[in-house]
Amino acid sequence: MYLLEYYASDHRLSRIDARLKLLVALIVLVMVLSYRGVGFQLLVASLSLTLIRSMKVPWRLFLLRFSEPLLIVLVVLLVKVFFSGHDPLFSFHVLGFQLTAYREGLEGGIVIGSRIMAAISLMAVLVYATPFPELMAALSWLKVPWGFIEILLYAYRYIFVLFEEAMVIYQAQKNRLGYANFRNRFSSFGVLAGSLILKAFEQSQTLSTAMVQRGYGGNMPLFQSRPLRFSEIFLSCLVVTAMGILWRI
Amino acid sequence: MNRIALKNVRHRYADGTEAVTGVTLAVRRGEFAGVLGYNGSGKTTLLKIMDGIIKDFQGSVHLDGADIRRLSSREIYGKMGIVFQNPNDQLFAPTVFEDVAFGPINMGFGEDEVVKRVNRALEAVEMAVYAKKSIHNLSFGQKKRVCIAGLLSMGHEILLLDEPTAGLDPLGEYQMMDLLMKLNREKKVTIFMATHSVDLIPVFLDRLYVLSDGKVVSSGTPEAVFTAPEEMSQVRLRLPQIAELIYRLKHEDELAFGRIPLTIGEARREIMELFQRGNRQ
Amino acid sequence: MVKVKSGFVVALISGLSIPQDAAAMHIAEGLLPFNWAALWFAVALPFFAWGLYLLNGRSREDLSFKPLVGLMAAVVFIISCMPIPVPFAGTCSHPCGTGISGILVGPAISVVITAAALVIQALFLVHGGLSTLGADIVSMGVMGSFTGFLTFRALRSVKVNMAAAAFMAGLFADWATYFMTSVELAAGIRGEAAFLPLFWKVLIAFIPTQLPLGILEGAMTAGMVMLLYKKRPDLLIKMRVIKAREVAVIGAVLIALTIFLSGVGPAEAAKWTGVDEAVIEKIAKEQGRETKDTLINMEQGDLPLFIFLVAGAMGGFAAGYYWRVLIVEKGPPRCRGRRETGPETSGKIKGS
Repeated sequence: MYLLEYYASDHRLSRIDARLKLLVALIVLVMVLSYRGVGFQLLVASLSLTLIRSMKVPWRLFLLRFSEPLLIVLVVLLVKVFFSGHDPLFSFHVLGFQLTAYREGLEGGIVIGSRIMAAISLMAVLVYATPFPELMAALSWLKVPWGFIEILLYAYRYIFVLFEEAMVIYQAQKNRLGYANFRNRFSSFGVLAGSLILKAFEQSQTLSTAMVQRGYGGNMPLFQSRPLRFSEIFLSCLVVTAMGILWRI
Repeated sequence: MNRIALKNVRHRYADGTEAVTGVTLAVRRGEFAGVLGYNGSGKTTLLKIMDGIIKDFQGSVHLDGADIRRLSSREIYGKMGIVFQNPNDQLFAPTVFEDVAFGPINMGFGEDEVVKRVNRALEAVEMAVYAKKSIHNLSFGQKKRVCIAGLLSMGHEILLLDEPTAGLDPLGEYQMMDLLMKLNREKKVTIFMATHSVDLIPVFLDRLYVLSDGKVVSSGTPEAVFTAPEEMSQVRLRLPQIAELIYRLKHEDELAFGRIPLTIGEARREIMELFQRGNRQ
Repeated sequence: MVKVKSGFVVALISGLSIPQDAAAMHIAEGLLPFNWAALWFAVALPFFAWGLYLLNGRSREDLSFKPLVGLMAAVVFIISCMPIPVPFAGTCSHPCGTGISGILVGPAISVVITAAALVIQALFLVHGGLSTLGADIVSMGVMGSFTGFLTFRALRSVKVNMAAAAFMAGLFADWATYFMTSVELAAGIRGEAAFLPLFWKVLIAFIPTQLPLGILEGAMTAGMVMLLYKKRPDLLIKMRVIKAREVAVIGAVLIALTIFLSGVGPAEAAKWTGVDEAVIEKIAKEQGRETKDTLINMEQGDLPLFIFLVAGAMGGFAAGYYWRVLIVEKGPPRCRGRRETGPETSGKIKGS
């Protein structure tokens, strides 16, 4: 399973330390969320999209990544346009209903839509430019509890293992006419999910045995990161300041 | 000389099944030995007892002369480690480098030393170019190599391996055994493996024990163990195929073979000799 | 092989990208304004911290506990990616899997599990988001796990049989999640509109999917618990370590939370009226139009419902189609490990 993971290893942004990237991304995210207009958000979205294109992300991955949020944007826009506000823009009849579009709804919808676009493209830049382990190390630098990051590391690793397991079980059930009718489909899904939990139990037992014999004492060791370069810090401050100024306008 | 010595070891699981029923064996310094047995003959349990994972056994296990039950896990795992059959059971870090570094970091080495050890271990298993890759993007054989590297980076002198060739294709099996032999000959790692692949053993192993029903039924060099097909089929095993062929030619077709060769190379020599003798007559 | 996998990703994503479903369970990145996102983080934090505290304690006693929790997070992740067809609405949706994890490891630790699954989904599937993580933890983690756990415990304590208790736990966990998400969603996209009417609209709009889905999740949860019970009863005994005293504490907290949300939630929402909202209100007043709360209007209530249904049906069709392409037409997905074994095969490595 590819989890849509793509890492632009030779992009310039990938060479910047993950901690700074995460910090800058979170600060800009907060600005996006708290901005009450459209301009700043569209700016962030277009900057991010330009960056993503320069990372040569395959189109298929790019479209898959943005398909769900775009649909949500569309639905939110429709709901807001037709169901909130009181200043009608236009109206028409469809299937016996009268649909009226409202100006306030349109404005509100565009604000929410552009906010979603800005936020997801910003996060996409971060994820495409940072490998998962580095992102986790950056989270621990931001004082996210190490116990939680450990859970994330195990989960990330074993999603792939358990997913393969799930596909094998799924195929085995299918070969024996599981999922053939509605009732059967549900018991099959239940067995599949239950088998995964059993597998998780058993695998965690053998896993901890293997870890203990390699010196595990209850905590995964934390890797020390390299010291931050001055140029990186300077660049990050610059980006944050520039964004801050644009945000204030 | 003996690094690990088992004396009359018995173990019964909580549900009452007796997996190991009186095993006495010894692993000598620097040798490449193994235990051969069918599925369910108690191989894995035996390895777990040798590694100190299972502690409630009867009899005694000594590691370098010390009772393994008296040793702390740190003392045991500083010297030896076990590679389980399924690599997914033991690779838990997101990348190859981090997984191999897990042991050395836990042993308290500084960063430079950790990096040095990881690189050395990855080179030893020919995986150095994959250091930064995610575990889930590796093939099965590569994962197995990373498992071995994870133990080598701790400076282990003894490796226990559970079915190291299971799940590999023919070439992969051969390369895995070749790697283990290199570790044994060049890095002086003592290797003890559990297996049921009879065709590979004579090519690589110095000595082996045949396990059946939790008991050692025969032991010695491959030549001493693989003598007659009937004996082997009694313990649900067989001779290596080439040995079976020569055995039948010798006993059923009465060709004048001297001894039963176990590998293709030996068999080729024997057959050529036979031809030359025949041609001369 | 790559085809098959990418096909699955397509199925996965289209399974997830049905607007109503995605909106019903996970709140998209950026959907909530800062104030609301922060509020939900604040609500989630104590539960999360409590779970982490319990987790650390238990992993000191049992070294295999942390790996187990990590693996459970992976399982919850996979379960919540399974495209499940919902019969009456004609769409695909996905279960949450939080009810079962609540039953197995206790609700507080289940919050941590859900949070881990959500972070990975947010980063890699854009399913939910980092900024809406707090809201998603509250709806899926806190509401789902606690409701599932409490239902299961309560029913078990009055000697309801295990399958029925697990069924009800899954059902209520799913519905509680759905209820909570509707609250968050309505509050978040409300803008200048009133909270309650929008909340009802959202709630009604998701009924066709969520009511049957809850029943299905209940059935799945029951199936899972019974499978565990038959195969490894020792595990169930081992995992059931939370004492009655703690259950009472959890109950009290949950009741307090409900009171807080029902009382303070809308009030808070009213307090945080946005700037543009105020501006629009002012303009409206100048034009002689007082803003009024729209009451529940059948005509208006039906329209979003209709749109959601159409969108959902389209999404469901797409998901079902791709799922079929993956599983039926392109041959079986194969286990990566068994297929390639030689150390030379390095074609798998990508992303560099």
